[in-house]
Amino acid sequence: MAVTNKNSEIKTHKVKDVILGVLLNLVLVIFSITCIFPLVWMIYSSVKEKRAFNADIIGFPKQPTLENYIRILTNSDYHLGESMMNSVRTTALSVLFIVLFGFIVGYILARVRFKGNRILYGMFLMGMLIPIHSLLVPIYVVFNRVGISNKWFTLLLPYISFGLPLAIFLVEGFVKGIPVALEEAAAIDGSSFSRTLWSIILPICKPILVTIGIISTFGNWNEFSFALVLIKNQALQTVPLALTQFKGQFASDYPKQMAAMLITMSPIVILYFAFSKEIIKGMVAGAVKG
Amino acid sequence: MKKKVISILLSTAMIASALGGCGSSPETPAADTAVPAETPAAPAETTAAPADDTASSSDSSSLAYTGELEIMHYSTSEESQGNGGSDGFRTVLADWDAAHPDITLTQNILANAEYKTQIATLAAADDLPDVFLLQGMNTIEWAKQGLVYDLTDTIKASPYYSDYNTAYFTPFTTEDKIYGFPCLTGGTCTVVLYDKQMWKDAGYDAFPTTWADVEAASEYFNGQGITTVAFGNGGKWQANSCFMSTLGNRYTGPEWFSGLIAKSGASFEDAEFVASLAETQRLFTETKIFNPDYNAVTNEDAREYYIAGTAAAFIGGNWDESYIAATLQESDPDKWANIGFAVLPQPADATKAPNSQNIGLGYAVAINSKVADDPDKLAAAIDLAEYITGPAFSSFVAEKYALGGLTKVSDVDLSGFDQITQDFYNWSYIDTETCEIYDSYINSAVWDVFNTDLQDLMNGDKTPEEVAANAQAAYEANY
Repeated sequence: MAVTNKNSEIKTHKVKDVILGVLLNLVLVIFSITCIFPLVWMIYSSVKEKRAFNADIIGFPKQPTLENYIRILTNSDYHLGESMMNSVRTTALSVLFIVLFGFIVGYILARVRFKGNRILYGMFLMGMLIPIHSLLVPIYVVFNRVGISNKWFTLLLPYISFGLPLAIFLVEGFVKGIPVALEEAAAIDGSSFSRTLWSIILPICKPILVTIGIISTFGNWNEFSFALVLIKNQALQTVPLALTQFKGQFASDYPKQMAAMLITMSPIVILYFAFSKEIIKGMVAGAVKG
Repeated sequence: MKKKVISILLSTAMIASALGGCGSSPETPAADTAVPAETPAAPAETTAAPADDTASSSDSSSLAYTGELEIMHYSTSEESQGNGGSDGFRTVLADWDAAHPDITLTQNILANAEYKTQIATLAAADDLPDVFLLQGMNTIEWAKQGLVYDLTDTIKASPYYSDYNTAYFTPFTTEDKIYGFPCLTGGTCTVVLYDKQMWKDAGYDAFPTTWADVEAASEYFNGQGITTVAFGNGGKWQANSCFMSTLGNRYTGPEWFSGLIAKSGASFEDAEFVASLAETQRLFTETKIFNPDYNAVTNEDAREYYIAGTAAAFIGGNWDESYIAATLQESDPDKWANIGFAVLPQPADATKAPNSQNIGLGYAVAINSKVADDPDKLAAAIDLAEYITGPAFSSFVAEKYALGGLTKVSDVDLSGFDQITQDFYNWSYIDTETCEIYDSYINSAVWDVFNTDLQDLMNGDKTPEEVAANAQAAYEANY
């Protein structure tokens, strides 16, 4: 009798576990669907005609067509290829400099004691508090007077400047967590300052640098305000700016816009697949998680 | 392995897209003269107006200037598909460019919303392009700051002056000085499209001329499960541009709005205007005329209700008319043939202009005042502005799209157009009175406040008096 009761208890327990598991998984599945649905919606909407989309925004295409892709790729006025190249160049260079300068400055602020260290650190952090929109006109005026607006490198300056505070903040915090004994041991072994920096500290900081790289890449790839104000030449436009041309004054061609977005997303997706392991590691090990 | 395959596929897509865009010459886009899919059917034999049927001012030999001339506008390739004005603008601009090989015409083309942001930044930095599109609501401020060249004498001396529709200059005029050549096409912002057959079935030979009759008809339509009038104000600007501008005029008459522009004593809190707000609130909250989601959907969604037959009428602008007509002509020719046009019905307590609809040109081609430092360059800029708003443009849009521009085109041959296009042309330019489009004037700071409040008013969350008081406060603070 006691054995039967115990068995039924175990069975009830198992059923409860199964129900709980199903419920938890259901929640996760629903959450995952809400995350992935916009992308799926974008993919199938991009093969819809504008009128079919307007008539039924969510529905699946009844007559899928690649017309949107063909129009985008064959109309040179859209200059998507050029804008992608501009975005790749601007993003790659700005991320490189943000990571490089962020690492050096962050390390020095964390390790080297000098007068004004904290003031300098505070000033860098202030950069994160300034709303960039309030600086658009002054920056435009300065760039214009100096003659550096509307050039291929124009966007690098604000992107690096506004990317650095976060990079410095993250590197400084990360380096403080590394035992000083490591650098002392290196010094005893005869390692110079720069050798210690590049050969010992840099590899240890790799996860946080990857995190900075990810944040900066997405931020710079999607940046719109500076690109709009500082770039006048269409040949220098970046992707977010080029995508606005699918929006009219009174009406928008959303399926075409979505097709263009999917095309322009491809470099970032390639980047993700190429560095997925590093990215996951960076997200887990870095100060900014998931 | 899978990742490699995906990476290879995506790389191929990227390279293909890059190659697709590489052949562009963005600085001088070629005119796209293809008939856009969404525009009224154009007669097959119609071609663009040749450049030589207009005055010879665009002849390169008459201009001494050689060098760069910069123009900024928002007629993107995308915008020109389905928008006759943009198509015409790009076409005549390309004609002028081709006729002046010694002048390098540099075009900075952005979509409308981005154009407005960038031009505002450039104005704030006193770095406007040589030639640009001036929005009516910026005229007073920019003229006061000396950013825009005074074109009064130039316009009055223009060979086309006698053909100009001078009413279109009003938004670009301040203190008796004109600062731009109104451009693109003047289409109505408030038209009621209705299905003649559906209204006939409801017992009406034409769309009612009073809201009381529309209200009565809504009982019939609601019984059929049909929305009487579809309207979309999800973007907030629609209720202002496509409803209030006309309805307000029915209460206040044009003098009130002229007084508001001139700051000569008119106020948003004037009883007539508050009455128009009260009527708007009553129509949207107390009657069942409109689709219940009018404040959540945009005009693009609401017009689909009409196309699908779930609404018997729709209120929108000329851009909606061209979309609906083109869609129905293709998908439902019978319904297309039943399209009728009407002005907004008259409220019971309104006494002014019952046959009015708001129409105008929201932008003008203007010239940076700094260009005047170089007389030759100024002459080139004036020639450009005059040409792209002159007879070449008006003939092109009249013959291809049955639309009107700044310059009147005599004897527009409508016979090549289908009946609906002809009806709409006559309704827009001949059979109705016109009034102003509110947000072509004053400034965006005022309209931002007003549009948000208007949405609340239509939800029943604010009283007409509150909306009027807030608008007046914004007006006094920003204008």
